[in-house]
Amino acid sequence: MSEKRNMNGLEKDDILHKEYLRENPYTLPDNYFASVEDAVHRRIHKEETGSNPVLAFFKTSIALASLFGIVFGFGYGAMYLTGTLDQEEETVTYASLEGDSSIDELITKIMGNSPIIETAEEIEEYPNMPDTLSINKEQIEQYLIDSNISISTLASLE
Amino acid sequence: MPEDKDILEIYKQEGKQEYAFNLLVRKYSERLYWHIRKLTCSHDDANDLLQSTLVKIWQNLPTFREESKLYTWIYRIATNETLTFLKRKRLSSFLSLSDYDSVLENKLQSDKYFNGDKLQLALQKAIIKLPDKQRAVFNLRYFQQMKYEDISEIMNTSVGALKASYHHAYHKIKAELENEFE
Repeated sequence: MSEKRNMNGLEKDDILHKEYLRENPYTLPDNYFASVEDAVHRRIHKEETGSNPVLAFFKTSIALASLFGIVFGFGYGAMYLTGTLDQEEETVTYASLEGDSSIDELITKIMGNSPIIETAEEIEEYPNMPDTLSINKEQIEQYLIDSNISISTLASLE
Repeated sequence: MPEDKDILEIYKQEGKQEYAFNLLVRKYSERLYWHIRKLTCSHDDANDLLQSTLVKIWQNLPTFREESKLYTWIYRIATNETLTFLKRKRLSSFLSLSDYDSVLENKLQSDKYFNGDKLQLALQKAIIKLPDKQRAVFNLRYFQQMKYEDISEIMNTSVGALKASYHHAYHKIKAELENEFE
């Protein structure tokens, strides 16, 4: 057993003991190493001239600003394409109205100065209202008969 | 070719730094290139990493305190650069749901600068399957026949751990080759 072992303690007939396996199986482009020295000096020069800290700071700032622009642009574009941009503006308008007004003020802002009339008494308070609002009971009955409205619908109106 | 200590003496002389560095480049470029090339399996990657290694050597030479040998210090920079590169590549491969071992194997098979026979190709393929650090240890010991003490300085690992790692790698590769060829 000991005869079969070499200085590394590995068997002599070991497949990895074929000496040619330790040879380099790779080749190289012609005259490669002749060009390495120049290439390294060019790279050193480039790194030394390109490592200005002020320039590096501005590079970072410009990169961050560009990133923000891209993210904002994508967001705006997506909202524009999906139509959520308009909805959001509308929501913002109503939200701002709600923020500083009561419900009555809100209605006034939306309706303008037109009064909201709910009862017959209120009609009397607004004599300048157009004639279409002063409809009598007979006219309403005649309209309902002409419209062929069913008894059940009329009952539900009661 | 001058000895490392002579190059360092030249480097310490006023205005001779660039000349001393050129001596180092001429002395170590080829050895470092093959070390990196066997780990990356690609000439282009090896070329790029060799250049960045030499740039780092130039940048860090003023702080080299001669606590270790110059050549193990140089190899440590090259090995760290390469292992960091492989780590980054493996991460980007993982994120793109591919296997970097397969990428390396494909590089090896399509490499127009690979000149070996079937057994040499199988050996390289078996080496690729090892973890990167273990590959570096195996290559330094098997191909460059470097002393464990020097590999220990390069890898910053104890000699005992290196011996265990090398023998584990050796038997794994041997089993794979025997399985394929015997």
